[in-house]
Amino acid sequence: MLTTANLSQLIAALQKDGKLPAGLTPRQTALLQKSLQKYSGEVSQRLLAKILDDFKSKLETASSMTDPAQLRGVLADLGGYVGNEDATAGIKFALKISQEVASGAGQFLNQNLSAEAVDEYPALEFKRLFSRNVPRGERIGPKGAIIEVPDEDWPTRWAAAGAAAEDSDWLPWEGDAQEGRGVALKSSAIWQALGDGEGGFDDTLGNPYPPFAFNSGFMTLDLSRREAVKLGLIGADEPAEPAKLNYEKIFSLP
Amino acid sequence: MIVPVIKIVADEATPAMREWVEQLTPERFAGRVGPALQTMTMEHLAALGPNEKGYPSTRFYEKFARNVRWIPMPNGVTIAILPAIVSGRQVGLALRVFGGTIVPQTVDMLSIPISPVSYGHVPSDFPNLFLVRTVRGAYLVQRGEQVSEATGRMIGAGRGQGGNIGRRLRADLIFLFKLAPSVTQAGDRDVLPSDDEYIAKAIEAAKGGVN
Repeated sequence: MLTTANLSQLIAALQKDGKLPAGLTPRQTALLQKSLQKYSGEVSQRLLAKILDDFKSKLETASSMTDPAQLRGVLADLGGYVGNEDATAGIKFALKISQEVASGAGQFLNQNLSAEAVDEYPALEFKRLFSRNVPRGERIGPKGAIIEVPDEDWPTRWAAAGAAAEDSDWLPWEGDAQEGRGVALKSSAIWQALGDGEGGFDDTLGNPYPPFAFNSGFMTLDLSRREAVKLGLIGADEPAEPAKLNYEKIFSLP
Repeated sequence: MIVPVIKIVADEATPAMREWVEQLTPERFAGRVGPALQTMTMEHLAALGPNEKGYPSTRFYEKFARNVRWIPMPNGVTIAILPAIVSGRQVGLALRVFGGTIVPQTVDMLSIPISPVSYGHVPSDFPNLFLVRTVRGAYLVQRGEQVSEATGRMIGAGRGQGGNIGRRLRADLIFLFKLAPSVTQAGDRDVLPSDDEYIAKAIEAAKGGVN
């Protein structure tokens, strides 16, 4: 993998050879490295590897070019990583999402790895924990008016995911779209279906844990056996199962 | 004198209590109490309001709420709040809770955001910053409005905004950061639930197995 350390060496070597005349200034290089260093977690490392591979590929292309016009085109692409506010914002957004995915994966393991914890808390409740200016199920209309979009809210997604889950380990949504909740056993397939965007939603992240979709303020919290029994999800002495862990997918990226 | 005599015909409570205590292994205790304390901590952090100056939220506490974990220990359970990435730096919550002095590690001065525009950002996020020294200190400043080289029109971060923020942004100069050699932050224990709340929640959760 191309690291930030040898990335700077590579850039310096290309600049010394005159193959990167004005495309990347030291400040731009520093900006790139700074952006890349914003998160060092495992998930982000994979994302950074993808970005760097792409960057490296463009650098290699540039290094083999002799036509100034073509070279300028590639350099413009390279500059897009660091000199363009939209591109920088895009990288920042991707890193933010990957950080949240990594946090979600950690919590998912925390909820499922202990047999005692699964036995004591066999279910999860899915509810809003963090407020959003414009939550899913709403959008801003003319003159800032809030308009409801019920086809996109979480109760709609929950019902679609439950239908796709093909198990009876989940309950219909309780309450309204923003203050209500969905409850299901940890072992239910509804969680993966929710992350897969069953029902035709394309803003999801493919994971069986939150954030299930970009910028979501909904989280999963442990639900005790006592409450799960009361809701009829599980018997008082019925063995509880953890989520089926797919270690290859657990750190999947958007 | 009449002395009351109580005869215990059948003691069902003692065996039940003994069985309950025997079942409560360290692993069982952690599995019962840990998630309850984790949830309480997450909900507490999520309920903390936005910054006191009313600047646009950076979701500071949300980042930490997502990173709350419970860890089984030989003699109980630990609630850990993992570090989060804030403005490009990995930071922990301890400084906010216990307070302390921040000194720059790799540069000479700290840059303190002093505007709703710069809040949650670092100086490298803003092009064309320049240094202004005043009797009150040194500041990183940006021009409020600039002429676009492409269109010749006036451009600026604050166009279209009203109120104090808009007036500030339409000023000739926007003071974005104050430079300081160090910053001392007071602790705020209320960032986390109190010890009493943790103990009460742990007792409530531990009793969860008694029907």
